[in-house]
Amino acid sequence: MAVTEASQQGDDCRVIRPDFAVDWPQTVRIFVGMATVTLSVAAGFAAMGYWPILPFAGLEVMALGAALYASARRSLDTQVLRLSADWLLIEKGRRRPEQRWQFQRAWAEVVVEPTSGSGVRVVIRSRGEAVEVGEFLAPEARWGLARELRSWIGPMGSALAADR
Amino acid sequence: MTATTEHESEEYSGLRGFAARWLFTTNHKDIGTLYLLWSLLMFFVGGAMAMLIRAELFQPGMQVVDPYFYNQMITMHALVMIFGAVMPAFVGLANWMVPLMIGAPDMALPRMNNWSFWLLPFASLMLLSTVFLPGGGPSGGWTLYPPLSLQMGDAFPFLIFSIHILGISSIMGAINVIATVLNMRAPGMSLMRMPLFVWTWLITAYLLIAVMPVLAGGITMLLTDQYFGTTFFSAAGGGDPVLFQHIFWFFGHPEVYIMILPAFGILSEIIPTFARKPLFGYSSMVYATASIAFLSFIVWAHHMFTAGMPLAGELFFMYATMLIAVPTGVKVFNWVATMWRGAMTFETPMLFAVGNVILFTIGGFSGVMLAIAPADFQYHDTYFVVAHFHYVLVSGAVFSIIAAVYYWLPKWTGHMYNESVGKTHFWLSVIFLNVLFFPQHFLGLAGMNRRIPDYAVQFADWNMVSSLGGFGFGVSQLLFLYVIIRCMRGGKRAEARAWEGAKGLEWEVPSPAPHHTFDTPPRIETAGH
Repeated sequence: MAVTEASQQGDDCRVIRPDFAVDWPQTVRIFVGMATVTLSVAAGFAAMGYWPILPFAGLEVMALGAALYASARRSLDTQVLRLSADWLLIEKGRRRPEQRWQFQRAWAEVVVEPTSGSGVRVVIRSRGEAVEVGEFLAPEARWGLARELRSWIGPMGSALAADR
Repeated sequence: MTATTEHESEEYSGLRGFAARWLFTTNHKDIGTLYLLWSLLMFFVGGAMAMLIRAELFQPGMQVVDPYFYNQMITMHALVMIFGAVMPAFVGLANWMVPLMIGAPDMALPRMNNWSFWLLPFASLMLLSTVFLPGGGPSGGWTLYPPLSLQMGDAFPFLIFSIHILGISSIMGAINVIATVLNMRAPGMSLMRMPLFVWTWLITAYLLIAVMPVLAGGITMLLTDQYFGTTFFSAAGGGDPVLFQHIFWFFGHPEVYIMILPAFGILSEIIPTFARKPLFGYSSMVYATASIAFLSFIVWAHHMFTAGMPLAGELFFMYATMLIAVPTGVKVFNWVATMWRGAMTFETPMLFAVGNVILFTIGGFSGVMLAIAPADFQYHDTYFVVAHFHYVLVSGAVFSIIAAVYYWLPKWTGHMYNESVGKTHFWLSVIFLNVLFFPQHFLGLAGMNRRIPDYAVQFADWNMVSSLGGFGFGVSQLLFLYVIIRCMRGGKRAEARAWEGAKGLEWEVPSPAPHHTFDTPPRIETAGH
């Protein structure tokens, strides 16, 4: 679901974002078309006295709308990791940075934590603070992200891995 | 300070890991596999019911089962095959292939995907369990017409509940397909560059969204008529049982296309591969699919010509139904034009695809015959109708699913299947299918009613032939099971592009497809593929 890419600014920056391009106006147009047909049919039956079809149609259209909105909104998720000699800066947001964390590079570690079920999450920790990254990635892709971040952030991750 | 460094290969180790993988999986490939395996199981369960039906009809008189159980088998065979086998198989194929075909790493809503699968076995088992309840299972036909369906025993609420759950599962699957196709295509994969299988599934999902509330409302009204004193379909209380037929078929006819449009998509993938030519008329295929979907909303009453309706209504539904032959003809023409002067080879998927085109067209012809209102008065509720919809659904939908399995099995398992066994499976299937269903045209034209366990002696010969074909067809499908199991366990390694002429993103990833694909966005270059 995501691409991790070196920024044009150089090798000291990584951008993690979903790798699909959503055409939201197109999605809205198609949703409106589907909703109009579904609700018109249900309204027609309701007008003939068969009203129980209407709530089912309404629920279904709401579920479809919510699913489209949620999945489209996720496509805007962007995470930018900037690395300098001493610092690791993590920015998260949609369209613009909305949250920002700054860790000392020497103390930053990349941890893969199991979640309930069979999933994992990738967390960058430093001195008691933790930030999850790549949460919009498919579970399997998070392992790859963790490996990449460990080798990128510095010798500490590699050393830690070697310790085990 | 330590870091977790478990490798992904250890993620699913052990029994707990196995359960975690298959119970809680959110991976589209795993869920696709679960759907397909469940569908295969239901195919054999529904097939076993068909064997019982054909055993009873082997000779006139009552030999194998009592008439009431026979009626249950007729009803359950339809429900199991439609809701348990064919629809889940297409959802399984969509789960496996749609993300791969559009360059998405997974379905848009993976957790909902897990739910939509696990509702399916629960609801299917509830449906099957009704046979063991006091009063037996549903026996009034899959159409559930009142007042007959309201005379069911204890099975009634379980039947309604199971259909509701199956419907919820289908709706969740449809929502997921729509969200995935609209919001998760790789950059450059515009709508008119999508593979036809994805297009047909998008339109199928649209049909599901439009008609499932009608079914849900209809069966809920049956439930309230039975237990809560409403009279939606009871003439005694001012309701109208015929209006249930309208409600049911407003759902039921698009449902037929829900089961055939993805099949058209599969054919549009397979035929160009083995003809080694691009699909002829890609845009017209898309518009033809959309036209069929539109027309499916305005033809429902051709199932009800004999229920009584004004002449103008009969004329409208007759002509509207005949119109469907036009976009369907466009499709058949395009498939034939794709094959024309192609460098054709006939591996098993292509055999099933070509067999599908020919036999589905026979079903289409008998469909046009049935669309003629005055003629339908003669054909209605006879074995001619049974022959028609089995030609459409078995040689149309089921053959396409089998073709798709043979086509994508190397991608799923990483192994090539046994081609000789596959071809034997095809030839036995196609021969026995015709022995099974073609005589039913004669039986229907001679006046044999459908849904009867006993019949007049004049129908004995063709029924015996049909039953022999049925047994042969049933046994032939064991070869399919054998091929799948052998291919899962091993065999010749499949290359990433398992078929020489195959185009499309799914053939760019290794075989078997890794658990996670398209970590980086693919490049989309060619229209249509």
